[in-house]
Amino acid sequence: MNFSEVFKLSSLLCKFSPDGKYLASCVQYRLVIRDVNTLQILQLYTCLDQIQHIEWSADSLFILCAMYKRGLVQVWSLEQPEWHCRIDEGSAGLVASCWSPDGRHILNTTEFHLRITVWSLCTKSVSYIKYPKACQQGIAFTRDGRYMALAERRDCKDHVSIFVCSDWQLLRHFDTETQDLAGIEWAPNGCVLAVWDTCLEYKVLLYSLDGRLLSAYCAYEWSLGVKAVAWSPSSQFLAVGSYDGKVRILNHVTWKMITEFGHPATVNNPKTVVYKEAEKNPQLALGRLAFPAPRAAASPASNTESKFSLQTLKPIADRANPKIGVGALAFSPDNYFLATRSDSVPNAVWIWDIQKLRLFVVLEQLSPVRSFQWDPQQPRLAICTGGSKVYLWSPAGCLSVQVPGEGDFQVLSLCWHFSGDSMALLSKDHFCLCFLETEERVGTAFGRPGDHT
Amino acid sequence: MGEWMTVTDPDLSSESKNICQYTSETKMSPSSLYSQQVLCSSIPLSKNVHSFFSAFCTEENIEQSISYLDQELTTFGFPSLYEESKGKDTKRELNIVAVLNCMNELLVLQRKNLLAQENVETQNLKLGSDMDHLQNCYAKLKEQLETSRREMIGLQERDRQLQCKNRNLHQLLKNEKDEVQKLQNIIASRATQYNHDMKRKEREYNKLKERLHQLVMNKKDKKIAMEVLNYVGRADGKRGSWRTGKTEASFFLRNEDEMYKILLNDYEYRQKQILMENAELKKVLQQMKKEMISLLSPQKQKPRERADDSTGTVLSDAEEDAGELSRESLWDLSCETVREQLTNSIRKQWRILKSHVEKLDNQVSKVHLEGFNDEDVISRQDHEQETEKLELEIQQCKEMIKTQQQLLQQQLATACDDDTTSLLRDCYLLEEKERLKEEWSLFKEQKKNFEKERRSFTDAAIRLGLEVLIGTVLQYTRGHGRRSLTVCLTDLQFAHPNLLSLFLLLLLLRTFARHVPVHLNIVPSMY
Repeated sequence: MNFSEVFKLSSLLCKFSPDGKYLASCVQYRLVIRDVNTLQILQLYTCLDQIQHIEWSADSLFILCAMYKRGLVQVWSLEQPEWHCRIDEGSAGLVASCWSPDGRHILNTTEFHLRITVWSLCTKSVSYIKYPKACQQGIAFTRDGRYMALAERRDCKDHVSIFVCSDWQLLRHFDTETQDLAGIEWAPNGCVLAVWDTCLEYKVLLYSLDGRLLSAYCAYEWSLGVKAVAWSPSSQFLAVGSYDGKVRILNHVTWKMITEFGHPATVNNPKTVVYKEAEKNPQLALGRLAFPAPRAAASPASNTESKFSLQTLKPIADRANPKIGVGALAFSPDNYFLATRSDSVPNAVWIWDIQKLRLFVVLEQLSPVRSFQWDPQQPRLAICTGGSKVYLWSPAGCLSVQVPGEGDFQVLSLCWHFSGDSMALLSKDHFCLCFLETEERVGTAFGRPGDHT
Repeated sequence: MGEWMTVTDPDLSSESKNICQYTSETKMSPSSLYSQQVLCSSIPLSKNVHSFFSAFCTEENIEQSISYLDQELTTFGFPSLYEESKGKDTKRELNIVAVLNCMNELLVLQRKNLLAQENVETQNLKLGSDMDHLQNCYAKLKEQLETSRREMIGLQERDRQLQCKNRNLHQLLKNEKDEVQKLQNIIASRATQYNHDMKRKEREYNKLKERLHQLVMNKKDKKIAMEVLNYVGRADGKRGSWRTGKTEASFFLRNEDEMYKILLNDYEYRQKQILMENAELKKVLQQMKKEMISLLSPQKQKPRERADDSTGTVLSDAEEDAGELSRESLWDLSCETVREQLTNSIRKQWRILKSHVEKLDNQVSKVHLEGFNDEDVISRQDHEQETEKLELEIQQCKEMIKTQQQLLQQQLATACDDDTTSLLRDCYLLEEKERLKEEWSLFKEQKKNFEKERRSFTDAAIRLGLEVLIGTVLQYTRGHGRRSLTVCLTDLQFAHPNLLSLFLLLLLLRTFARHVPVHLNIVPSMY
């Protein structure tokens, strides 16, 4: 495990290009493009204002920088550094900007969600889409990039429009039976669209590509409903995390629940193979040593206690959006595991075995888990808690690595390279790359600080 | 008699008073009082005797008292005190004998009465103590009854209280439920109200948005533009096409086509997966069925009443299935009837298997309970005992072997250790060997000698015998008839030590007897 040098960063804007060759990062109003392997600066672009959002086009040829305050979007080309493009929304304002899957159109959402403007980089044409829905996840593209689903709201009713991305034709338009649509997501196979309602009502609707309602699922009434939704990579399962602290798995054949996973504060299942880990943070008197404190030190914690209590967080009553329920869900790329986080037990990550549909591992950290991400190629989970360590788990075991650096490097976010060989660790003002050996072994990996070319 | 009453002396009345006083002072139980009275009255106290007795009869009224006594006694059945009157006029004389007899009788009576009185008194005492005892028991039982009654009342009270409490709790529960229902209704109504309000606000908001949109569009802000150095080619490299009416329609159709193609592909793929899964599952079921049949059929060869039907079905099933299999493999479809047949047959087999297993279970439990010994089956206890015995035996044998080994080792060890003793032993053995050898050689020599002597003896005997025979035969042929030959032979018996010589004799005789027919009875008398 090697760590690269620490570089400057702002607003946690650091993204790998889809083809895995480049790494884009922002420092205030500058956009820096680096080579992934050597981390040499390939390009440096200057934008007109502080960048709030960057996005690579799907073919990795272009990158857009959105400046919401100014209502500007600037697009840069990697092939032709002198090429430039600027889209000014002017008085319409800008709240969101994203690429279309073909990498030649930019969809700008204007302020107050008045409309979505589709700017084309190939032609002079501009399209407008009216009445987009102002919700968490209103636009969804299929994985193959053919279709786009857009949530709309007309006459106090929710609708979904499906567009063909190649020519922006409207394919289907149908209304949904939701009170207040909160999000939409395509299944990886591109044939089913999951639509879920606001948290005031538990409702998950499944629509086919041609707009037919396949199924509606409602687990309970009255209590707060769906918090997070995730499709499994094979499109076999839909995991629905809700405010009651449970994840319900729906199967793709009957669209009925096949199991539900609870997240109680005490784990008491000594019979089933529940490998519980607790991270004991040894206070290292020596400075920063990039040696992995192997969780084999946590083998005393993989004890034979019949019960293991986790730290819970009591939610503040009388406040909206309480910190309870399953807020984060992610399937592993091989479909074997599901990692979840219950917001009332913020220090723990639950990993479920999908083959056997039961709890596999619980990882408890010392501080609340900020984010976790699966390695895109293998079942390896990286977790960061805002401390200076990054944690990796795989079925073989887990380890924690201290990020080397002069100051304290607080890992606030992370993202994987698509090959799974490296990972970008982002802190407030800096970022660094972590290179993982292809066959990571627990306990034998030693980090050499400051290894960079 | 009234006179008796008036005659009473004041002393007597005072006497009786004294008695009464006495009795009242003591305050005893009535029985004892009575006894005391009796005692007082029975035991003549020296002080009051005379006065008591003198009160009745004085000097003056002797005649009167005698006549009174006579009257009283005659009424009581005693003989008269007077002598038999000679005449009516003369005064009757006192019959002293009668008086004495009467006195005696009275004394006897008195004694009897006293005895009876004593008996009665003892019985009275007994009864009194019994009564006391019974009264105590009664009092105790009464107490117990009281306490139990009080307890019962207490329990009843408690029960009543608990029932009360229970009712209260039920009531509370009902109230809570009602409240919950009410709250739910409130929530529902509030929700609808909120929705309504939300909708109203949303409409307003939409209006605002529309207005804003209009303004934004109308303003024709020149700033809202895209400035690009040069237009980029399309991602797929194609050229953009004009969008006319016709092309619109074609686009539309093409899009529709593509969408349906995608959907169909997905469905086909899924169907393939499901078919594969079905085929696998069917295979597994078939296998299971075959295995179940094979499991059950060898068992069913034993004659059992109930199983006859199932054997029939099993066999017929197997036949059916054989046919089915071929059919199925041909078709390999999931048509309704085939599926049903398969599931039904599996269910049947499973039921048979289940019943079989249950029977076995019952058997096993029966064996446990009754402990009956079948030839094939032995009860577990016996089995265990046997195993224990065998284990013990094995232990013993092992121990024996060990001890023997030890001894052997000891011997060997001691042999190895002590050379002289071993040498000695060897010497002894050698000595013995040599002795034996000598004896053996002696024995052989003796044997040889004996053989020689025997042979010489036999030869001599044969010669002798032959000579004798020849002599006798010659005699016989000369003189006598046949009969004497046997006599001669029996005579010769003693001289012939062995059969060989006999045969020689026979040969001789035969040669002689050709001329004379002879019946030979050789008595094989043993030497």
